[in-house]
Amino acid sequence: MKEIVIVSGKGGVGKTSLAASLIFLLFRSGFKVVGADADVDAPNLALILRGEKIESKPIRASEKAFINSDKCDGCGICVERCKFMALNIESGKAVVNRFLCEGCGVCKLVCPKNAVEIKDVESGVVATIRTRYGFPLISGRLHIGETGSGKIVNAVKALARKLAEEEKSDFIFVDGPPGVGCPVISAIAGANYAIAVAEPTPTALYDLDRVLWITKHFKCPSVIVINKADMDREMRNKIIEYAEYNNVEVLGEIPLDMTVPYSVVNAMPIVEYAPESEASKSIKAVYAKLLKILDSL
Amino acid sequence: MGLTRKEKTRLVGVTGGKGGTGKTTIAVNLAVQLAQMGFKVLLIDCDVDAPNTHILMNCKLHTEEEVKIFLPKVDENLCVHCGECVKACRAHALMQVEDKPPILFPDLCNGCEACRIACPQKAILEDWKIVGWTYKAEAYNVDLIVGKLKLGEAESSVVVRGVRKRAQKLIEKENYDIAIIDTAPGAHCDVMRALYGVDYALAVTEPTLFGEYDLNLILKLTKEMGLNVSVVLNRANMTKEKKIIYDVCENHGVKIVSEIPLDETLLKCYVSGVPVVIQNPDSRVARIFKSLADFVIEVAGI
Repeated sequence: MKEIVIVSGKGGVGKTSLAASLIFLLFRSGFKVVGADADVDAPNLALILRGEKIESKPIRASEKAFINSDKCDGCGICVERCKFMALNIESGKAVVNRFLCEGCGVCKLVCPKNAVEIKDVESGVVATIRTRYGFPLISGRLHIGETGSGKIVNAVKALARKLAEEEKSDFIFVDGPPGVGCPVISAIAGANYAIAVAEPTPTALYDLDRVLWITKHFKCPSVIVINKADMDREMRNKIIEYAEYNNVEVLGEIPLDMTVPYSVVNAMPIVEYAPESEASKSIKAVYAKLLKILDSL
Repeated sequence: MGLTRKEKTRLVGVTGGKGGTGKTTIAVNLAVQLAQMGFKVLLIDCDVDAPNTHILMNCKLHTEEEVKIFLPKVDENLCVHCGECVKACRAHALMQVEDKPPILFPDLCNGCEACRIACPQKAILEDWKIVGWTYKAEAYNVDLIVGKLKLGEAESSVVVRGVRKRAQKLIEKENYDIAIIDTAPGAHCDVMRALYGVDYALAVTEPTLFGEYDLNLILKLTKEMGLNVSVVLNRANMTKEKKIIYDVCENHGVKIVSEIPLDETLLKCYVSGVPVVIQNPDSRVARIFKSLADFVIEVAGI
């Protein structure tokens, strides 16, 4: 079983669209695959792969402080000591801002009245979806404004791995979050192979460089796919130069193709929606190369 | 400005849920357009994972400041191996080893100092680690504050806090009319920290299922925070499915203030690092940014 993750640094460069298509191609080639949506802030893969939710499990991965207002005398020591500015005194009592609280427990330690309790709270959900193709998709979602997205990603991946073991799957395919922070690190950790998507803009190149640092740091072999490659010739060449200089393979280039947004609107992978489109042809070429590489891993 | 001008610097957040919908493009053009109109403008880049404003404005970051957090350092002569610090550490950054001082995993430490408070021997001394940096820059009469997460670090929220703090110091000194805040994608606590205390928020989206789903999430977040918000529909003509976005907005009682079409001029400016309101002020998109700036002036009350 091999685990592949799609990352990008910059958001909106086409991670989910590419992931949906590659998963679809793996499925259609007869591989057993488990999909995993690790973009727990904006989990969009299920919108394209569609299916029936079989199970939804709450995840209690974060802790918060709760004030017992009968005991609190409003002394303000907790407010002073909280590193996350999550406490305030309102009408003579300490009040926790649950979105800023990281549950570190300092307030509990310093409270002279023993008025603080630390409790775990539900910070997200992990759903198991049986897609309309039949293979499973694990999709995680962080609750609005919550902390600890990395822990939800870990829960998504743990469930995907368990399912892949049980079903003796060939591949786990992870759609990663944008950025380089905690959830991205969790999405990359333990993966066998990373595909970094970039578009030919200076911002995408800057963010690509940052995310490839992370994949390298985690010793995860990586390749680049250039999406909307013909959008700007000069920037496209710069990405190629960057890849050569840093010794990262460019697995393929996908042209700007206005059928892609329509495939998203129609909730289908582009390779299924318009198999003869220019984008689909390039994605199939990327897929063929990817299979060869995965074979040799 | 003169008579109606408010004392306090107005804060306007640009956010959107989904990545790559055009948050930074809109934040930059809005800031530059407002500066063109004679306002004193600060732009604050809170997308510390992927800080891109300075690239779109083609300017150099300078005056680096480190964003540091507390890290415990155990004085081995004072430590009696009681394990109180390990018990206090909810981030599991300290590990108890029998008859030895605790072992620290710096990557897991969030700098809360619970260990230091819990230690009965006062054996925990203050050390620190860098989790990111903040910078200053200037371009097109806009001052810019940018935060950047150190690669491999997970504490992005600390860096967002660092950016807001540094920006606040500057705001107190410089008497800006308005500060525009560019946030990270998503609807998590970093986005919330970035939007904390804003007078108005713009949520940028695009007419696809992804845009629809993620807009719903971010509008829940702004509602939870009690923020005034409007939607900017970017790449409005990318599909013929604008209606799905209008429906989300109607459900949330939020209006769409601008529709920006897919536009070649905008893309060229994006790549060249010159905002379209400067490069091509008479173009269709530049005119849309101008009316968006007028809208912001009105709702922010500057």
